[in-house]
Amino acid sequence: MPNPDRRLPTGSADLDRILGGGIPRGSTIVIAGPPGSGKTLLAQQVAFVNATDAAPALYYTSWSEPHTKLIRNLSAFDFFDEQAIGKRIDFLHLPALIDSATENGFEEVARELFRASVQRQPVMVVIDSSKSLHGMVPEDRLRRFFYELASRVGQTNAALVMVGEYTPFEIESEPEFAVADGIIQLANEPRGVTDRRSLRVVKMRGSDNLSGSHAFNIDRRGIQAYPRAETLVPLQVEHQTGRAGLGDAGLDQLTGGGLPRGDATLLFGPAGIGKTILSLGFVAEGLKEGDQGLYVSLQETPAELISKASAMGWDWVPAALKQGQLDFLSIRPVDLDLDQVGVALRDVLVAKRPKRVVVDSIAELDVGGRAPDRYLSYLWAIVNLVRGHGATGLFTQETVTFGAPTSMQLMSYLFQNVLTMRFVEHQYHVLRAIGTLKMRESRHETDLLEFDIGPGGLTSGQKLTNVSGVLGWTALRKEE
Amino acid sequence: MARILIVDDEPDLRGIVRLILELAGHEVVEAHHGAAALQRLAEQRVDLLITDVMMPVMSGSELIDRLRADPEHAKLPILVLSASPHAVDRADHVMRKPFEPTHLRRVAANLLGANAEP
Repeated sequence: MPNPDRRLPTGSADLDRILGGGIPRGSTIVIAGPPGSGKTLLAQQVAFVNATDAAPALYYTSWSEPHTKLIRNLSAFDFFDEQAIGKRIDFLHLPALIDSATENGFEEVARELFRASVQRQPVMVVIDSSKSLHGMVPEDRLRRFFYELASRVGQTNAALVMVGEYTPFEIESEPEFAVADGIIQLANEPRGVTDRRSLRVVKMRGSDNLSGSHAFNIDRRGIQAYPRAETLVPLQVEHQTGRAGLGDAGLDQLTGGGLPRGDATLLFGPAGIGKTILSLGFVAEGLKEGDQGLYVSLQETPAELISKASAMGWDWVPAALKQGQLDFLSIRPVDLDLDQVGVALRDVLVAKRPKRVVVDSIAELDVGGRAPDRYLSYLWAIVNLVRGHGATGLFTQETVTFGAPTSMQLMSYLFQNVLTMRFVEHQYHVLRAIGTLKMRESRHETDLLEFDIGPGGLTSGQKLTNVSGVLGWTALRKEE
Repeated sequence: MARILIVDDEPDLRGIVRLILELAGHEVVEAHHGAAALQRLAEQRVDLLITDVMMPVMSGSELIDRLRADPEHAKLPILVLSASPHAVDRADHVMRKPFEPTHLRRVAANLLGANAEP
């Protein structure tokens, strides 16, 4: 395990997690990425978070930006502390150092940076941009410079951070990457009409860092990272016993006593069939039993859900929300970042330990997330994130047919149980019915159960025993 | 006309200060850090020193300490021009970056004394 004392926090707990504990001191780290990807901001954020009077940050800049402009831009962020300038953080102009080094040789720059590292005992030394050094001296001297710089600063307790607009090709070829202990690659790529910021730890010696591409965004707090949801899943799922009732005796009987605790259940059904009411009822029933609840909605606002609960007569739902027994997580189904959703979900799961969780619906994650290649692995992560935190999960999915779903998109293996809701045509009337398609290792009934929706929520009626086409996609016709 | 030494590691900043002061009729010489400034001062007399604080090799604070300890330059008027909000002891005046050109001209004139104003 990395020693936390040897690591510099970045100001984003999740970024620290991605890096395997933060930026290692005494190491050389390169932050690479195209213009506007957030490289300088990340380096400055780490500097402001870690610099102290006793261990300042020395920030060497190139020609890219005057210090006054740089500081003015920084003032928009919460981590910025004006009092730190000139005390905890020195912004120094790198060309001044190079000008003085031309007489004594370029290696003098490495010696001066080392001298400052020994004399000032900084927590970090930043060169922004290290790429600007290219072209100033022949490549063989530059290679020696980076080697001397890395090896000398590596003798101190400071982290040497080099920032530059390096392309992926340059990461493979430029000499600074040969001496780097860590490489953080930032990207800002268009996805349809939106942009997605992401980072990848190409290399981090001696660290248990998280692999792959992780989302981040920039807000008042600076850079905030969102680890790939697949990396958030607890390694073990706690085995649970017992059932989580659905709030209706008929439904509980259909499912063998309610949903098995600790399971994930997929609830299929067409628009307007009552998936949200059943799901809300599942959470409401839990609240009555003392279960903590979480309702993640990509369709309705908390106010709309409260209104629905009130219409059903579940007066204890708004009270539970007020008292903190229930949380609503409302997610806009457009412009969503799957990993931000994953982190938001994890934060509530960790903080509140809900026993019943609804995600309504997963279809918006597919459409809004715009990552079809990844969707199933992401869904696996979300499902097991919920289960891994000890919750019983109910996940809704809209079907495009009024009857049985035409396709389960190979999703059913992700869920222990699958319930299907559907419309049934009968003598010029349309009935609602629910059935169980699958309940893993659990006794359950296989009939379709008629139900109605009204005050009190979903009320089950009789079993539809004289029907055909139960597994088909057409509307069912009840035999006379 | 006075000779003014500008010490700053940012060449753009030196260029701006040079322009402002040359338009006011002064002669301007430059150094890019404290050590280079000491070298300049050994070569030629200056009437006013304008210095940044955060610089590589030798900071503005160390430069001022050395000048104040040197009998030849102990009374040299010194204006600190820095992005840091922290005042520097033993400077005659401290100005924050960014600054107003007219304010810089006025402060420089005051430090040089009324006779030095062209």
